Amino acid sequence: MKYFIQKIATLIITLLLVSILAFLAFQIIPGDVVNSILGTEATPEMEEALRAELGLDKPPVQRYLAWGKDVLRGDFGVSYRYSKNMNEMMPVKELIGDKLPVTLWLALLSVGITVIVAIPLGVLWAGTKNKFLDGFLNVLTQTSMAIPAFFLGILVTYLFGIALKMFAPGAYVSYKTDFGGFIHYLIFPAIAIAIPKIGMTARFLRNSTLTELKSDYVRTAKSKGVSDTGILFKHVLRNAMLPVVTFLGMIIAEVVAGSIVVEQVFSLPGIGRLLISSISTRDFPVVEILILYITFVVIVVYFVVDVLYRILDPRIRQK
Amino acid sequence: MKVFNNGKAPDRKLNIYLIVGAVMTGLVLIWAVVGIFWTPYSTTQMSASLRFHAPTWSHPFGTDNFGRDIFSRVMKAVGTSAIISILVVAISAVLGILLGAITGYFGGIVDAVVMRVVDAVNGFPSILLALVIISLLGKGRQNVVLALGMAFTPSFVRIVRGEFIRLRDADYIVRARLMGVNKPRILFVHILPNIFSTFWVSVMIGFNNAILAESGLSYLGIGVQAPDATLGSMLSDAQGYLAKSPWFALAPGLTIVWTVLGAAMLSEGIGKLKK
Repeated sequence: MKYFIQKIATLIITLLLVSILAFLAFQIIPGDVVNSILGTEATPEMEEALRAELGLDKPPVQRYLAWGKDVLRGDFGVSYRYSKNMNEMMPVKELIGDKLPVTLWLALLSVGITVIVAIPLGVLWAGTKNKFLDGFLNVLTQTSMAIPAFFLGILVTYLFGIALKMFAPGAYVSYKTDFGGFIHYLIFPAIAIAIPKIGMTARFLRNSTLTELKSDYVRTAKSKGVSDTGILFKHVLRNAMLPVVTFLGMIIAEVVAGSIVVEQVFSLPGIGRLLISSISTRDFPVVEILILYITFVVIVVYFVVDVLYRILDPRIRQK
Repeated sequence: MKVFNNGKAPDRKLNIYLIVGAVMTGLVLIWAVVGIFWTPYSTTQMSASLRFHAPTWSHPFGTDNFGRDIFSRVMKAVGTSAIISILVVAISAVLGILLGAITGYFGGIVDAVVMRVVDAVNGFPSILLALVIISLLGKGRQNVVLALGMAFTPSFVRIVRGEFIRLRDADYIVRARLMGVNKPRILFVHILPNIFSTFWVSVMIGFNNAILAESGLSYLGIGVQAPDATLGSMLSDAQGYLAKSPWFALAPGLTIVWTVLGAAMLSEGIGKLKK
């Protein structure tokens, strides 16, 4: 119990720190938002009015407190760039809510593919005595990790989109209009994300399995006459999977935080692309909330992994 | 299925990783260094009659959408990427050594504060962090180096700190302390040389990540700006013409893979050498 309270306190403090840093960072940079929204033909009165509307006429500390209070209440402010219609500014909440399903579905698909392929592959690899297969898998996984995400995206686009014509490159289908088509389109970026992750996870699982195979309890089981297959599945894998859980957690955090590059390659309107566009248009209310979102996701996923670890391994619980 | 190997070490053979890695990395470096001083064609000269040529003897990688020779542009781009990545690793390694040494050796409140920051930053994917820093500093070559340098520092701090914690109570350090050796000398003369075997491997991994991150940023259009060729921006240009001329994307893409693979194998070879 003490552990949980401590963890949750750390989570809150980190979020608070990140929020202060994110807010302050965007206050000290040069460039006036009001000028860039209204353009050069604005009168001083118009600028004054907009500044008051956005709350920019108050000192930074006061503004941070007001902003923080709003965020806690669930009001994330309005975007500087996107507008809902002619006279209404786009609330950041709606903007992100619109993009979030894309990133979450993409994350789910790519992590799913990774787990389904990588775990059997890693076990097979650890168990094989075939020198050729071992070398082949080594080169294959090493190569999969050396291909940058955007080049992999381009290769997947070329292979599945242009050569095999399994999907139309760039023709994203919105989840609002056609959910089946949406998932169908998402499979290919998910493959592009999953390939290096499969390589890493399989290597990781193989190494942890081989380490476990050298331990004393394996020798004991062996001398008791347990078959090699039995040792592998009943004894070794339960231990070897533990570090893999942590590793998968890191992957989930990374993908949910937004696969910026892959979203760009496949022109998916997700969180990652929103971050890029709001950074290049200096849409700071959006950037600030996105930074908080990413920090939150990363911390929560690590927290869940930590808890899971304690459930899976009683040895850690007792410490 | 036979899975039991009696804890025997595999046969010691030729260190293939080291050789292949060194050859691959060496070739890229030579190519890049030559590219800085000389390229077969101009990297910016456009030509309407030469657009989208498939690879031939005179243009081994073909030509791009402006009729520029892809071979020459890739050559130049590798140099740019390599220089940026080396600077990034240099900045983050030096900062990592300083912060890691101090936090690891002394511990206490400074350690607690620095490690909280490192943890918070480490959670962020490094390309995201670089993006946020660039949005503050602005685009351009120097800012890419600064942003990536800052983004990569935490992982070095973590590694160096761990090593310093491991060594700070070693017998020879305790004795040096008793003999009244001053602190900077203990840190950088007595401890630092002993962490290099671990450190070199992370430098190589850092170099790889820097190459990937730099080309990622320029693919997204926020790294080095046109008309300078970078591997990332070439791929981004090529993507629009994928159906028409796939080799346009292939040359810069395969160059990145080759470079990263070479450095990865080299670092694995160095790791095996130490054992």
